[in-house]
Amino acid sequence: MPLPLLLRRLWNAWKAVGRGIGIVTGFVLLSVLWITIFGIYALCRKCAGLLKRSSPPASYWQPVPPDYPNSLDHEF
Amino acid sequence: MSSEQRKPCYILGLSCFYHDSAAVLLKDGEVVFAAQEERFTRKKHDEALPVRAVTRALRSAGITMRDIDAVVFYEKPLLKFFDRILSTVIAVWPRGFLMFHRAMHEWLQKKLWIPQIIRKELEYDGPVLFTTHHESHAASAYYPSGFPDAAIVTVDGVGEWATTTIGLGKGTEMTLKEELHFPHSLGLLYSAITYYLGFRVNSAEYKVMGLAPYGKPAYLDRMRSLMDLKEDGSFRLDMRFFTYEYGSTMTGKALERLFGQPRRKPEGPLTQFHKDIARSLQDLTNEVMLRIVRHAKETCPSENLCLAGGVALNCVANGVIRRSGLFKHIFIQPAAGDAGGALGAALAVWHRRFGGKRMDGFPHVFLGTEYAQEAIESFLKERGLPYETLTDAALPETVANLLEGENVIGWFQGRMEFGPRSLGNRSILADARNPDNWRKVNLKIKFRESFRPFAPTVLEERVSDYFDLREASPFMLLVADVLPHRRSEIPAVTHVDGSARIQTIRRDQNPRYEDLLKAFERKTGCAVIINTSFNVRGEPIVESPADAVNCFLHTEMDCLVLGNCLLKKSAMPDVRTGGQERYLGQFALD
Repeated sequence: MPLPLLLRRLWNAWKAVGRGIGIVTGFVLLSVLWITIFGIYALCRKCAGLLKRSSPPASYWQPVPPDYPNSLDHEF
Repeated sequence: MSSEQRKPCYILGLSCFYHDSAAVLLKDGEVVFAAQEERFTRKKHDEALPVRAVTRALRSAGITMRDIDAVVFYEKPLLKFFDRILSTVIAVWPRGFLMFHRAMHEWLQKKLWIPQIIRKELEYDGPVLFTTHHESHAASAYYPSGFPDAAIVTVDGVGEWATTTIGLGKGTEMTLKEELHFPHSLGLLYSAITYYLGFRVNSAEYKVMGLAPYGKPAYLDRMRSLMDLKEDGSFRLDMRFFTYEYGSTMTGKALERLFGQPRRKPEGPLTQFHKDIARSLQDLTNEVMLRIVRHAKETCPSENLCLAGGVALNCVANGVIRRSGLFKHIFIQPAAGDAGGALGAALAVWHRRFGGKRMDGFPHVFLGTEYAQEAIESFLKERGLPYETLTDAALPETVANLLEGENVIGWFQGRMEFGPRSLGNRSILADARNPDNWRKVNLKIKFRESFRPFAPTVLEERVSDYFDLREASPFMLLVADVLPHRRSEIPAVTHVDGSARIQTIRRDQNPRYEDLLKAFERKTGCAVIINTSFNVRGEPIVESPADAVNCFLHTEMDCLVLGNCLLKKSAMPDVRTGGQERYLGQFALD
């Protein structure tokens, strides 16, 4: 059942406000994720990397990972 | 059901959500339709789900989505996101804050839901399959090549992780053996320097290739210092000079300090420095590609080579590979970029899942939409545009007469080409003998940079009379020298270093276009004409009669041939030819 004009306008206005709230909260949540989860993991990886010493290899070619059964059905 | 009544197997290949989305429809392993979405939406390099291309594909085959046995996407999105994207975020941390936000929005809203989007937008409930990105490229080159076996090399910006792969094809089996990983990418190096030269990334790399002959390799040593290149073609980029891992730009201050000049502003003046940078980059690219294919020959012994991936569109490097004599035969997928991934994905599934047999070859790329003569005439009458209808017999002679000299002609025939090149069905043609045509077509018709060269079409049987080339080049993917004694005869297609990016034409590929060339040769004694894509700068190649007429009316093109209909600019009502600025303003500069 179509909404009356006034309610439709209020609904559209609320959707715009909701989108704005979503953009802000999304930014905040992603930033927290980036600083905490990614940041901590990244720092651990960098520290571990400092302990590893390697000289450049003779070749940078890497073997292609072998295929697995029914791989076509999967997005990974 | 008897074998005669067996339902055909339809596979729909899709590439999208990065750049150059496309749809390809196979029927029992043969390509029945292939087209890029940009041609329908008129948005260059459109990356959206190719709904319009799919609609046209189904219509051309007379089927619906219910008849499709499998839809195949050209890469593995979850592998790309959860492995490469997130690994890169961690590797570059604490840089890349904004890139992280952008990527998360894009992936969470769209790219993680590809099967759902496909099912919803295409109203499809069958299987959705996924190949890897480089498998798609490799399959797009190997399976149509017609070779019983081949070494396969794919080189592009990046897929999931791989930026370069080497593999072997034998019969219906294809195995990728070695790869190089992001961020170490020849395609991204080329794009980064394209960016540094002020051109648009993923769009204008071929302009850098065209600029290179104007320069000297004065910066080749500094260009080489950007990578640790091994004898076997593998390499590692020095990422201190590049910002694409974590930023919205490709290069930063470090590269500017290395070359001693800031990044060129888009549309800014091009100096000898920029030409020398382009040349140095091209020379390095040639060197890397040669080492890679040499390593491919050692790793995957074969007399044949298949090339795909965006870097395979670098015709200059292809010419170097050809002249090396490493391989007897080379096949380069004409739609070597991501659009061709749709083709490769579909072919990979045809062989791996359905056990299908190989295609007989890939004789031409005229796989898109076409318009019947009645539809064209009905359209022209509706628009009130005066035209003359020519018979099939009169068409080649009449157009050849018009081509001689200064006339620039829009040529719209048959099925649209698949891939980035116009090969005689959606082309702008002109007399290659007239040096003024270079300037006229560049500045007054395509409104593009004046340094850019034009490509010739030549009758296949006459190619070695004009060029240092003894083989067919039907897809305009090889560069060879114009023979010295011919350069003054065809100046409009001879680049500043004497080279040309050649298309050869043979009757079975395009009889009408071959008739035109033969008529031109009879009239003038010259078997070569200019063939450039039917569009203006920033515009996708024209798809429909309406697109062709709009381009014709708003440029200084002299004539338009739509099927058998000939339109002359001199006969067009004045009121129809105004609004050039508005027309050109629709298309973002590339």
